[in-house]
Amino acid sequence: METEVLILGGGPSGLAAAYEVASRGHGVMIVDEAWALGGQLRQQTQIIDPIPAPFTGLRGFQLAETLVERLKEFPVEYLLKHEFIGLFADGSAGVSGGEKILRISAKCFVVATGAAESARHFPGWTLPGVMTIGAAQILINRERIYPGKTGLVVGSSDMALEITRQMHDVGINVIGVVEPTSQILAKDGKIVSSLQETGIPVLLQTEVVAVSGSGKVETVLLSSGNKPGVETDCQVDFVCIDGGRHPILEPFSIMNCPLRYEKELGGWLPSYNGKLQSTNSGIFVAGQAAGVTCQAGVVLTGAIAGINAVDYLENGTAEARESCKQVYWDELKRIESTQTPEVWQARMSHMG
Amino acid sequence: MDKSTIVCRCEEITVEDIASAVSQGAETFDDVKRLTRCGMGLCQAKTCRIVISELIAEMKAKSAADISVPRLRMPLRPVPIGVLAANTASGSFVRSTLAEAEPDEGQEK
Repeated sequence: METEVLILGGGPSGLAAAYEVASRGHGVMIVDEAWALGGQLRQQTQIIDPIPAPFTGLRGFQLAETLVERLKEFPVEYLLKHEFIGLFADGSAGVSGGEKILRISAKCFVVATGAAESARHFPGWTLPGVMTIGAAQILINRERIYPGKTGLVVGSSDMALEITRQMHDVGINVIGVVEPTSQILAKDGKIVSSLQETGIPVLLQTEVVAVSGSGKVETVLLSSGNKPGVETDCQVDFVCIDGGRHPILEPFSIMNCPLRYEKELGGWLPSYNGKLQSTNSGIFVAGQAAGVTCQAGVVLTGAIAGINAVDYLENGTAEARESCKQVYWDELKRIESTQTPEVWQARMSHMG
Repeated sequence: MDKSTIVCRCEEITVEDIASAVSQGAETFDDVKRLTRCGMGLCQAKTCRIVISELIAEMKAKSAADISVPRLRMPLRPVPIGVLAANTASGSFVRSTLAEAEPDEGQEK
């Protein structure tokens, strides 16, 4: 199989990149391991804010639908339920749906493989009933399954507090959010106040000592920095871990793209320049794989990487494309530098 | 973290196992992997890479940026060995011993 731009990952950044390529008349193929496009937006029911026009006011899953819908007028090829498993010696991609290995040769790649949630470790974290906060959101919003009846959330990022409220909304009894540090990590005031309206307490300086139970989660033991030596028992049937997220690195390792550590972008990630181009010139990086950020950052970096892929194909840029990129960069700067200034700073320093 | 806490769930490797590997001279994730099998299970270090790297950094009094990422290898996802090895007609990743033993097999696939 052959295409001009092969996009690994059909989430928001991959879809945004595909639009920029396809709408300029170039061939594009999207590979995704899931059976549906949209990535992690598929289970997001909250209104995505901030997000640039024309996507304002949409809920996560609606944003995914919109990004998919606007590709319909172009001849984009999709390979769903297929995983990128490696590269052939000639640089073409090996993709497998489990039955055979397909060889896809492309003039360039956009790697938009996203981020993975990081675990937190305490005795008992491997018991059934302990899951990441993102897994709980998949269960309630996508699979329509209760992760449990009574739960506890460990960690207080924006994502964790938002999903805690969503769990409360569907009738789950969340007894509390515990945060080991002395402050709530969420930065979005609206998310924090809407959690407060639910009455679910956020317990600061509190750590999970252990989770125990016979074959499944039954009890969580907590210790509080405010009351040294005192440990409190809570009866729950599930625990959600919010350990933050980190860029998925496997494709970059295989493609020989050097990695660099940037704490604020989620730890290790591929080096890239101001074109979101890795040191391997035919490989562009987009979305959470280019640094953990908000949904707007994901869509915008996808779009920028897509235009740069077009420049790569056409061996140079054009004025119209340059001004388009400038608009996206300005939006990205406006959103990241107000929402998460440390992410914007780290991105600038990462690009060098 | 309690010493008996599991850090690599696929291979059931504990904090104590990591500490023991580090005390034997391990300095990187790959070193620890070779001594303990951590990261060699089904998830191929996708779950434990970060926490184990952080533990090594802590034990060696280094920063997280000093502990390099382990070499991640093909295939990136579990693929049936038959698919990987016997798919010679359309090109396979590995020129396997299976293919060498029965060179005509590939034509039939």
